[in-house]
Amino acid sequence: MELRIENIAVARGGSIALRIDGEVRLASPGLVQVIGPNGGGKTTLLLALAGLAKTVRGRILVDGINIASDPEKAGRFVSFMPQDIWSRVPQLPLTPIELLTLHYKTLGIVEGVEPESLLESVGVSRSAARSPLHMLSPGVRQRVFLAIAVFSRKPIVLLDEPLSAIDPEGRVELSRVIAGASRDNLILVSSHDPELLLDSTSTIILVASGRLVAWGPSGEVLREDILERVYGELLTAYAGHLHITEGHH
Amino acid sequence: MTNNRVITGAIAALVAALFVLPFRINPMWSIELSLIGLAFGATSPVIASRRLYYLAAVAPHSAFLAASVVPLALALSGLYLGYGALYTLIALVGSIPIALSVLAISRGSSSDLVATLLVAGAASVAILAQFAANMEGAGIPLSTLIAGDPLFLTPKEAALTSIVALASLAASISVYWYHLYTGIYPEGSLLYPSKLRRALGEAGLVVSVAASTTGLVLATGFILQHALLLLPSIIASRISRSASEAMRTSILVSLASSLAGLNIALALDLPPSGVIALILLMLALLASVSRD
Repeated sequence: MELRIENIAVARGGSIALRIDGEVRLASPGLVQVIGPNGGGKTTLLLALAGLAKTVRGRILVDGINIASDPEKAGRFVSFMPQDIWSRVPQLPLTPIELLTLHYKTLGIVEGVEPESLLESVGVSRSAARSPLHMLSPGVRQRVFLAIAVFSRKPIVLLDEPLSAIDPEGRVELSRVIAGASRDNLILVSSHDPELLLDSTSTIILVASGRLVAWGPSGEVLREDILERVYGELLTAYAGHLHITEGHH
Repeated sequence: MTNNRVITGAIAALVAALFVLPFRINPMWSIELSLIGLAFGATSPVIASRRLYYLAAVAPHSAFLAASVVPLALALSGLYLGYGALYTLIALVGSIPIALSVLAISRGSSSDLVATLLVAGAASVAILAQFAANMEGAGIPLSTLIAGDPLFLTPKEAALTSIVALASLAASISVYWYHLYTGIYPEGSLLYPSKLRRALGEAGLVVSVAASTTGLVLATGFILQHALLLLPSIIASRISRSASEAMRTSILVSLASSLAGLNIALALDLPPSGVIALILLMLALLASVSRD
């Protein structure tokens, strides 16, 4: 399976939020990290790939099928975990097991569904899986939604800052889950902390100020000259590594 | 969980007793109030599942508007319709603002703005229609629209009320899980269900809310509807441990409150709607205290 992004301009809030001139080709399986400063276009790119942001120019092709601005078509190929989804608390006491079961029913999958063991694999205990979401910590809720995205049986998985509410130990653990899933699927992860997944990363996409700056293998993109253009004086070299202060790496 | 089962069992026994007592005086009363309780008990969690609380303001006012305007319009035009046709026309006219509000909000309008405009518009037009109806000597009495007349329904009216209540109950139960999913994960709701399934989900919401409000306004009055749309799910959300249990609890609470309200109203010669709302309010306060 191949995901191809061709000369797109994506609108959000009535103006163009992201432009990608030229073509980006991503092959499955693999792990793609989307990085860049806040407001640079990471979320917009993932929303566009899910058909949820309006692509006013260009095409987004999955094996030749254009899914741009068409969530129903994109939904055949894509699962999506939105940013800050952990902050959504339902009014009614929906449990993680109920949510995952409901998700699979919505996907039309009824065979071989074991929500409890899937939730356990992302560190949600059996008792938490049966507790209302509003009684769980943000970190546990984030794990629930990570399970929904990763185990949706879709070839392309889009994760928008999936580790933001997770503690440091949990980040390492969930990074392994994401890296494991990237052996069978094409996973795109937006993150401010690319180091955690760097060893498993096949491609980096760097966006800033609503433009594609660079894309390719990490060694080609995470270069001092390229990063300096984006991050300026926030970029420092220390002990042979590049660091970006203010939460960007 | 065990405690919850004991409480549920006790409420079920209470419901049975509350059903039997007025049934011996007039079976229709018990049946009517039970169906009203069931309908609102199921509609309330659907509204809560997507935090569509604006509907609890818009829908009763739409019902009030339709029940004020339709009889006046018929009287002015010289048309006489039987109760069934009048009832249906009120339900259809009242559904229009509800459907429009759901459509506007699904297209990105602010729910606060939509609720404000519709409630203000419906209230002002309804009051003017009531004034004109008084001058014409036509229309449905204002006291009926405010407090409802569940004890004065004829068998034919009661049959229509029952059908509408059952339609609302069926619609609510069939779209509950869709709206829960959409409430917590709207992106998933855009990605995975087909357009037809989404359209049916939204249409089910309109049927559920419109049937229980515009369809039942003559039996419940539009004031009680605010409480019946909001409180059962609020109570259920505080004492339930899962979404499926919340739906069952909401229905049971609404049913028990409706029948208890009927019993107390008969014993004390009070309007049932006021008593039902008071019981629900007390239960909501109790549920809040027990949760804290």
